[in-house]
Amino acid sequence: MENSSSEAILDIHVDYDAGNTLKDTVRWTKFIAVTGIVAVVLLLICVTLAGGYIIDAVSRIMPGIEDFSAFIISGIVLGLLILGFMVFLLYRFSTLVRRGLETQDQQLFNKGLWNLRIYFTISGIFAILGLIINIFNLSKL
Amino acid sequence: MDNTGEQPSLEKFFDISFDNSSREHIKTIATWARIMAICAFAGYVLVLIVAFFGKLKRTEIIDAEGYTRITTSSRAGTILATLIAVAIGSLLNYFLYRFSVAAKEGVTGMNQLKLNEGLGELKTYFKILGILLIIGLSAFVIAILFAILATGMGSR
Repeated sequence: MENSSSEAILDIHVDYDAGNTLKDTVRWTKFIAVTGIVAVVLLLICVTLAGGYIIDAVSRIMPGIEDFSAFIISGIVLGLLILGFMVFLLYRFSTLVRRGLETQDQQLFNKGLWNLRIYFTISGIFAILGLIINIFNLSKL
Repeated sequence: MDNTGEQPSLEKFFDISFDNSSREHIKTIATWARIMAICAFAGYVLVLIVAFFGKLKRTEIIDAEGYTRITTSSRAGTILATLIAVAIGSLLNYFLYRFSVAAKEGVTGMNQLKLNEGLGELKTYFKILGILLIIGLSAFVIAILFAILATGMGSR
C-alpha cells in the first residue's frame, strides 16, 4: 500500500505547466484535424465525381496515363483514406486528452496518447518511404 | 495561510500522471518523431542536391488543338522553390526533433522539467503546422477567387 503511494508520488504528474501546454496542443491538433477531415471529404467527392475529367487533364501533360486511369484513381482514393485515418487519429487525440484533463480520467488521457502514438507511427513510416523516394530521385542527377 | 481557493486547481492537475502506460506511449511517440525528423533532414539534403545539380524537368503538354508544346523549368525557379520548402520544413522538423530529445530524456530520467520542455516543443510543432495550414488555405481561397474572377472577365 505504502509502495504504491510512494510510486504515485514518484510518478511524473501532469502539473500546471504540462496541463496548459497539452491544452494548447490539443487546440491546434483539433484545428488541424477538423480542417484535414473537411479537406479529405471534399477531395474524395471531387475524385469520385470528376475523376475522369482529372485524368483527361493530366493526360495532356503525361500522354498515355489514361490507360491506367482506374489504377490511378484507386491509388488516389487509397491515399486519401489513409490521410483521413491519420487526421481522425489526431482528432481522437485532441478530444480524448482534453476530456481526460477536464474530467481527471487517466484512462481517457492514456487513450488519447495512444492515438497520437499510432499517428506518429504512420507518419514515421511515410517519412521513411519519402526518404527512399528521395534517394531514387538522385538518379535524376 | 488560506489555500482553499488554490487547492482545487492544484488538485485538478495532480490527479493525472504520466503512468507506465502513458510513459510508454510518449517514448514511442518520441522515437517515431526522431525518425521523422532525421528522415526529413536527410531528405532535404537530397532534394537540395537534386535541385542544384539535377537535370531540368522537360514537360510535354498537348494543348486543346492537339499541338505538343515542350516546357522546361528554370534552374533559378527550381532552386528558389526548393530553398523555401526546405527552410519551412527544417523549422518544423527542428521542433519535432527537440521534442523527441527532451521528451525521451524526461520520460526515461523521470525528469518533469524535461518532459514539460518536450511537450512545449510539440505544441510549437503543431502550432507551426496549424499556421502553415491557415496560410495554405488562404492562398487556396485567393487562387479560387482569382480563377472565378478571370473566368467571369473572360466570358464578357
